[in-house]
Amino acid sequence: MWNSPAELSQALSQQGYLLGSEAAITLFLALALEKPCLLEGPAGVGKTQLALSLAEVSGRHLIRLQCYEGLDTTKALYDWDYAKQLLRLQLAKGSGWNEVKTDLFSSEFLLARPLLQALLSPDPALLLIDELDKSDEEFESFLLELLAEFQVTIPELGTLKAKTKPLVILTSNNSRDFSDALRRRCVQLQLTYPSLEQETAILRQKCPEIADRLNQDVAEFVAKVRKLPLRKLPSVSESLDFARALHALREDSLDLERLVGTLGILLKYPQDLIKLEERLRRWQAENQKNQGR
Amino acid sequence: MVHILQLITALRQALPLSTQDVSETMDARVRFPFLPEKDVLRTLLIHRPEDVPTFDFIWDLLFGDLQSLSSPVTPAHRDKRNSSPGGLGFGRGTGGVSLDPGASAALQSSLTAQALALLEALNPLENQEEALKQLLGALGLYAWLNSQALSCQRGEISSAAWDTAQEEFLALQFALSQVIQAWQIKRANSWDHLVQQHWRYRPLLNLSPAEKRLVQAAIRQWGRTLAVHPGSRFRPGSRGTLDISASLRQAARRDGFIFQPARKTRITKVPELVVLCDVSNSVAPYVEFLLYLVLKLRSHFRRIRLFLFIDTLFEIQNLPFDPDLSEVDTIIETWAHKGSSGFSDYGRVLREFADTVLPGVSARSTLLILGDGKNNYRPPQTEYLALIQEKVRRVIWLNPLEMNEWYDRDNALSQYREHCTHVFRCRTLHDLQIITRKLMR
Repeated sequence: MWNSPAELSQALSQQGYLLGSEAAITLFLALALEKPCLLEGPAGVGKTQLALSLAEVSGRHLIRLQCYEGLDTTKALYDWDYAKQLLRLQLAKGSGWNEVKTDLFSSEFLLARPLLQALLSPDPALLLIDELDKSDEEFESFLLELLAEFQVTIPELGTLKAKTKPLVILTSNNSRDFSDALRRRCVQLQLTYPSLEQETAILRQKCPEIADRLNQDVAEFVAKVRKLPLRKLPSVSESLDFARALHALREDSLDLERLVGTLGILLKYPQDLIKLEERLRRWQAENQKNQGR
Repeated sequence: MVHILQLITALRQALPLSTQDVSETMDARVRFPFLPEKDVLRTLLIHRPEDVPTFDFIWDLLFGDLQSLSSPVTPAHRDKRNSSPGGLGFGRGTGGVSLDPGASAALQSSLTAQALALLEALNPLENQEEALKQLLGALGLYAWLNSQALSCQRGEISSAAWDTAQEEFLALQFALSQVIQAWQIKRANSWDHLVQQHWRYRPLLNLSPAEKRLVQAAIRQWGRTLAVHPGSRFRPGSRGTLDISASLRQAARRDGFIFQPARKTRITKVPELVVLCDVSNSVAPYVEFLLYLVLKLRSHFRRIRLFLFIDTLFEIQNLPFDPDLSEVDTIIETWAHKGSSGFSDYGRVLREFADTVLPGVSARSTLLILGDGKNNYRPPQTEYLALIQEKVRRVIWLNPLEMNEWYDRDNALSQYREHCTHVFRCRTLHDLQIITRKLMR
């Protein structure tokens, strides 16, 4: 598909996703070795977006499984269409048992959920298993066969192998750890907050209508905020929203004195806001002192 | 390829690497010779982000020389190191090395050389933490950090510069700890130190802030595992497994026609937890992790009651603390100064618990005690723990001391032990992992 990490990085960049060189090597290896890629990192650093962009640039159709606590195989892999089976039973009153029992568990009564859809898809697909850390450990164990062999076993139908190997991307916010068995089957890629230069480039690309000066100021301000001991650090999506909010307020540059009311876009917890407001007052005082010199 | 095998052998001392990992790595090296070797090996051999520093350390140790260990830092640290905290120098007197970005390499090299010379004098074969403190002191890094703090208080440097100074300090501390570790490994000619210093096996007492976050993430998961037990009872629902008997019962009422299959879900057990937590100085560093565990258990237990003690009991009402536990720290400090002598008295506390709290505790509850058992030669009053054990479902004692210290003369744990369902050493993350597994059986 791509011959080098640089090619992959360039393709993603054209799609609007900027990937660092180390991350590009990791993702390139995962794709080249046909291994699932486990994207980890705090919320809002672009894990899901990377999967979406990858689906776009690789021309694969995206099949997404959103994980949550209590997710089981009937929601993720397959289920039997019980209502249809019952209807079949009612209609088959005259026929023999042997005919009905095999018929009831045929593919006609099978409801394919995202994982099975990805395996049975005749076209190349990208399977995004989003926020796997939200699911239970049982579900994680269930995934092992799929991740290693690209196949699943359905007791009534036997083992189903992938027609075309899907690209598999798993994402996690690290709300829980995964087993060694799952990690071994994946190539792990840690996405972190972007550097100042990367963030400025992202802001320029995503918000071309905003003045360069404001984009640069926002990136610098967010980088400073990320150094504070906060419960939830601002993510890329929040810095984009913050820049757009300041632009909507007709600001051309970031002025510490005129941020009242906008900080809630950047931080989501009241305690974090209090900490930032306190620090903001110090920064303002230091600015005034510097200007006075 | 020999050097890759050398790296793998070293990595296997601390990390689990499968044959498949090795084979894929070799394959990738042959298929993609144009990719940086270190990046390829790290990608395919390391499966956890927290193990990346171990990989980087071993790589630098094997393929650099000891002098080049001046930069065995993770990329995150490397980025942070690019800015200067304000131009003040390191080292004693006025001859310190400038921290200007351009001089960073010179500084690293100079510090490493000084550190190595000091290590030869200290000869720290065992205690890395103590050696690190001594090095930081001898190199004048504590003094430098204090001078930065003072300058910030006086308004001579900005708060941003102070933040950067702290980051610089942490980065240098990390670099020096790796120099010490490398020195110890080379001197002992053994990888044992690598395992001992892995965050999973180090005492919770000595973890860095980043390692504490890793431990907290692990605890969060175990908290949930510990708390949620699938029960033996079911409840009907719209989701879950097919309830055949209920479906048949419904069908029997409708002349054998099944309109809607019945489903059922398993009801999880939601037990009650009572926590007794010694907060005297000897146990204080471990309390943080137990309280974090309790915090994570909160949503999974029907009711949690948390009692702190030194020589008297103190109940924390409504578990009001926030995720970083700063609130509970303040509560402990305030209470410890007012209501305690500062010396643990387990006998008195257990008597107080049996007299005042036990009548209101459910018979299905679990009592979790965190304490070192050091009773300061006071009467242990084991009869009260026996009484408590009869009333509650199980008594679990977590002790942060090494097992050989449980039998010290001032330690009453040996007498309490027979009245506990389980007594575990709870000193490292690995211990916590074992405890969770055992309790889940």
